[in-house]
Amino acid sequence: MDKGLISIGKTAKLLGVSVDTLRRWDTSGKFNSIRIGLRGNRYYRKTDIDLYINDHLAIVRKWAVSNLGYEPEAEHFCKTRDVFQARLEHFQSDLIKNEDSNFASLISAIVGEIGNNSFDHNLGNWPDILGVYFTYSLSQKKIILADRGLGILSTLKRTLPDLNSHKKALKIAFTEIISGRAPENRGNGLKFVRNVVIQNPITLFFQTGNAVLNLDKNNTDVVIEDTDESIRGCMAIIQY
Amino acid sequence: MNLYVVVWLLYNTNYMIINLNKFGTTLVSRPAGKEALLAFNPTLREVKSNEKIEVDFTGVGVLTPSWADEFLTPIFNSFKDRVRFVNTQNSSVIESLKILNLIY
Repeated sequence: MDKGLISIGKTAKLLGVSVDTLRRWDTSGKFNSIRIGLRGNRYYRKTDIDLYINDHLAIVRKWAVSNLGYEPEAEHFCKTRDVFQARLEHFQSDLIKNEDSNFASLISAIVGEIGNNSFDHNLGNWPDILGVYFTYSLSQKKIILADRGLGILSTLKRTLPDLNSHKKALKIAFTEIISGRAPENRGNGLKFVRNVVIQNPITLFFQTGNAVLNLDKNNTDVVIEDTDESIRGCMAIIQY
Repeated sequence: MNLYVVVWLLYNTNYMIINLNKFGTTLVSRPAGKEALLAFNPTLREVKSNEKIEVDFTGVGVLTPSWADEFLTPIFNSFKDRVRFVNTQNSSVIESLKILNLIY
């Protein structure tokens, strides 16, 4: 068989969706398979899978910057924390098959911290769409998380009323133990994320509003940059 | 302290063992950590003054500082040096305990 063809089961794992979803997408023409053999088993081209994944980043970004909120497809969207937990456990069980168990535990822990942060800080205050976009590709070793929440600036303003820019807010979130949920003693989550990223072969892109942070082993300092395209809430891309 | 006393202490110190994997293997969110502590509080109230607490991380696949801060920090603050952590080899366990200053 063509080495560039991948079974439906493996494709489902790589894209983080179910086999049934892939069958539905095939029937609707959204993501076509190649049928092989007497039983017409479904296979997918590696190039199509890679294209789909790259396209997905564009879809998430479009969702995060859109002025009009809308609910994304259920396959990649966690409307509640329970759904996020279930998908995270599924992700962890897939990841551990491909990576060292300790490394997999660290990746899952930072994904868990970032995803749960969205729920912790927006509970009862979501501006339009409740929930977290959580999609990943095990073949490209890439995880995307995004929300249309208040963003870090609005959250920290509750504790630091004079805070006036996304850049300063993002810097504080990754360097100081201050929480937007004072007087609760919180604020360790993103510091933990930073520690794990800079000590391991992991890269992190994190954006809130128009402020962007890139972290990895060679960029350990929290240097925040501006970007032209402002997003609602927060967006993180983790690569390993 | 002579060897005899050390051996005597080892055999005669009572530990309440908390197997964290009984709360799950992906211990991630704050609400889950808070709920775990609330559910476990009646058991913690039974700890005698001469008893110590052993928190066993065997089987924990993923731990975050959020979950740990809701469950372990209050236990550590209440029982201080009577708490010991065992089987902490998992990297997410080590990093979470470090950032909460529960281990160094």
